[in-house]
This record gives sequence, structure tokens and C-alpha cells, in this order.
Amino acid sequence: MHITVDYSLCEGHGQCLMAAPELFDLPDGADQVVVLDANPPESERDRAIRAAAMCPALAITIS
Amino acid sequence: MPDTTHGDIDLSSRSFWAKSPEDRDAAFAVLRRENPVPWSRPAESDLLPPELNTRGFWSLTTQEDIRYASRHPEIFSSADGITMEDFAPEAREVAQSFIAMDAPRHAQLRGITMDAFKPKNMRRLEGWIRGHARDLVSEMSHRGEGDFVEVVSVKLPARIFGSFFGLPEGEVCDKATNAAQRLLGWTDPKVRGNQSELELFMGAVMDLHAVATELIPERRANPGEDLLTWMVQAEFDGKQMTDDELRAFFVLLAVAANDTTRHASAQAIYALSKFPDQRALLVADVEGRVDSAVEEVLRWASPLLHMRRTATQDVTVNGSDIKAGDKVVFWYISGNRDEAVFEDPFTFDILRNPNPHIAFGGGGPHFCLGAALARTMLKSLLTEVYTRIPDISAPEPDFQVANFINGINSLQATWTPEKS
Repeated sequence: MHITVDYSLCEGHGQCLMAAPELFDLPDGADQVVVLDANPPESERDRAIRAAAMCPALAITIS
Repeated sequence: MPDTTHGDIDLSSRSFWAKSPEDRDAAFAVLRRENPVPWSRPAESDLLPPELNTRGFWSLTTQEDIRYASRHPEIFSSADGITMEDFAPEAREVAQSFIAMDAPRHAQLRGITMDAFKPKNMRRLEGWIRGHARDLVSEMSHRGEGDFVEVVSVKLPARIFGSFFGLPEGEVCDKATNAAQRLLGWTDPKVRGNQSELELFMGAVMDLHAVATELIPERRANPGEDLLTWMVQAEFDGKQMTDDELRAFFVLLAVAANDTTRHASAQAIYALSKFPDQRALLVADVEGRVDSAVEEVLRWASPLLHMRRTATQDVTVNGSDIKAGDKVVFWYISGNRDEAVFEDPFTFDILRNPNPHIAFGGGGPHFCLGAALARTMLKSLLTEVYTRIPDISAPEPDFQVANFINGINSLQATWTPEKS
């Protein structure tokens, strides 16, 4: 599984980290999220898909 | 309603908003299929005198169109009002603050409180919020029956709001939360009672102003660790907010805090009562399923039915030619049933994943500031309720007649009392 964020879309709302705090972060003062683990184990798939759907900008892709 | 065509659907009428949720869903399905960006006559409303209530509106009903417009605030402005019913500018000014502003002032004012609502902070506060949910359920779990709205839904956001703003418990907090909870109820005859629509609205605004007027000088003199202190201290280009700006800001946050999560939590209990198989699924693994259940409740309930914008330029959306100055309403309730996005959109499915609903808006600068807080509150509450009184059943809500908030006035519930 691979996680990518389209930074031309990300608006920094940070909702992704509500679903998957081990995978995403919005550091203090940052305008956009960072991916903490771009290649997480399969066991994280459900959570990653939920995080992507919670992004109001639909900036996250799980492949 | 198989025979309905889009020509029969009148989003402007109050009677449409007194229909059942199922009938409203069916009407929006027709619109999405036949006429996804329809024009409506001016909304029925007594907020303005009839000679001034002359502006019709466009509706966006598909999720794609709502997301597009939400992310183009330069075309779809908030400065002219955010509800499909129009208010006089004076009424907007005293109550709506930055939700009815555009950049750059919108970003400045929103920025003051943004830190408090950051998702990371909400995660830090999760235990504290859960404690409030636990206390509330402890106060009612032994009773076995009651109005869920009264005993839980109104109290959880009120307590969280009270502590965020450092409101003194008792009279002051009660006055503020009571006003915040009725302010948006002007469309509902029961909430309004014998007051006119404008009297109900302005009465609630004045109560909130009175609380703010009392607290603002006090926080200036004795700063605390609360949002109101941040607000009175904030400076832009060396200037603090005026008292009028602070009062409007307080009204906005009080209403946003109190009147959204309240209805969302009642909608959650109702949906899980209407669909007992889904309740059983949740109860079987509350910890593992509560997160996706919260998302499905948000999609299903769409606690905020719409937001409205005003076009700043001519723009064509999904075949409709919108002119500069036209009102444009985003129907979240419709975008959350969009067949192009969701499989079986009319099925309540707490395991739905992915669930890209737009209950908090379609992105852009006005995306709900309190989304992470609302998610945390709902998660905490559903966890406590379905762990401790798992058979709670409340299949007959008293819905509000409303086109802005998807409100439930009362929700009679029964459950097996918790043994202490």
C-alpha cells in the first residue's frame, strides 16, 4: 500500500490525522499535512482509506 | 415518489421542509437526475418584509458541483449571507461574524480560534471530552427512559462550549447555551411559539450579546486561558477587535458549538434505532466500529442542510448560467446521497468505507472549524452510550421544520437501566 498527498490540493484542514494519526501529521505552524508513513502495512488500509475520505480537498490517494 | 418531476419540487416552501427526511431525499434524487442546478423562487420567509424578499436562488445538488464551488470562494462569496433566507444587513452584522466574510478579514478572524480547534489538540482533549460524555451518561443511564435531546444532546456541547469560553457555570452558561440553541429555530413553529421569526432570532442574538457584554471587560481585566481571552487580546495591524465585532464573533461560535453537534447526536441515536441491525453491529464491537459509525451518522444526518453563497461573476455550473449577484445554495444533504459518489446512498451502513461525505462542507476556507471537535464529541458519546445502555431505542423523533439545521426538537428514548 502506498499513500500520496497532492499538495496542489491539500488545504491543511488536518482531518486525515483524526482517522490515522500514525500515518499523517499537521505540524504546528504548517499549512499542509505531512505523510509519516507512506508505505504502511496492509493492516492500516482501512484506516488509510477512511483518512483519505475525510479529506475535504480529496488530496489523498491510496494505491 | 416515482411520478415526481423536478417541476413539482419547491425548495422555497416551508412545507417542503416539513416533509419526512425520506421524501426530501427522494426529491433531491429527482433534482440530481433531471435538473442538478435548479432555480427557485425567493424562499418563503418573514425575516424580511415581502417587498424586500425578492431574490430567488440556484441550488447545487451534486457533490462534485458543491466541492467545486466550495473551493472557489473568489466566485462564490460568503459576504452577502450564508443562509438561503435573506436577513437585513444589520441582522447579519450582529450575528454572523467571519462565517459571512471573505478573505482577507475572514482568514484573520478565523485564525484567532483556529489553534484551539486543531485536530492535534482535539486528540489531546479526547480523554477530557470522553469524561464529559461519561458523566452525562452516568446522570441518565439509571432512568430507563427520557428525552435524549434534553438529557444528553443539549448538555454535551453546552458543557464543552462553557469550558472553552470559561463561562461561569449556572445562569450565564445556561442563558448563552439556551439562546444559541434556539437562534436558528425561526422556521419551526414550536421553537418560535408566539414570537415572529425575527423576534425569535433577534431575541436570541440579544441574549448572547448580553453575556458577551458582561464578559468582555472582565476578560480584558483578568485574562484567562480561554477563547474569549484570545479574542479580546488578538491584534491585526496593531488593532484589536471592537466590542461589536467581538459580540458577533461570540454569537457565531456559540451557535456553531451548540446547535450542530446537539442535533448530530440526536440524529445518531435515531438512525441507530431506526436500523437495529446497524445498532447490533456497532454494539458487537464499539471500539472497532465507532469511527466509521460517526462518519456514517454525519453523512446520513447532514446536520447542516445547506450553506449559501453569492456569485461574484457570471459562471456556468453543470449547464446552468449563474449571473453575478445571484444566490447559490449548496445542499450538503443532497451531496451526501449522490449516486455518483456512494454505493447504495439510501442505505445507512456504519461500516461504509470510503465515506467521502461533505457534512462539514466541501473544502475551501469555510470548511467547518469545529469538524475535529464534533467528530471527537460524537465518538465519545456513541462509545459511552452503546457500551453502557446498548439497547437504547428512540424511533420517533420530533423533527424541526428547518432548511438550515437538520434539527430534532425532542427524541423520546427507552433503554434497560444501567446497574450501578
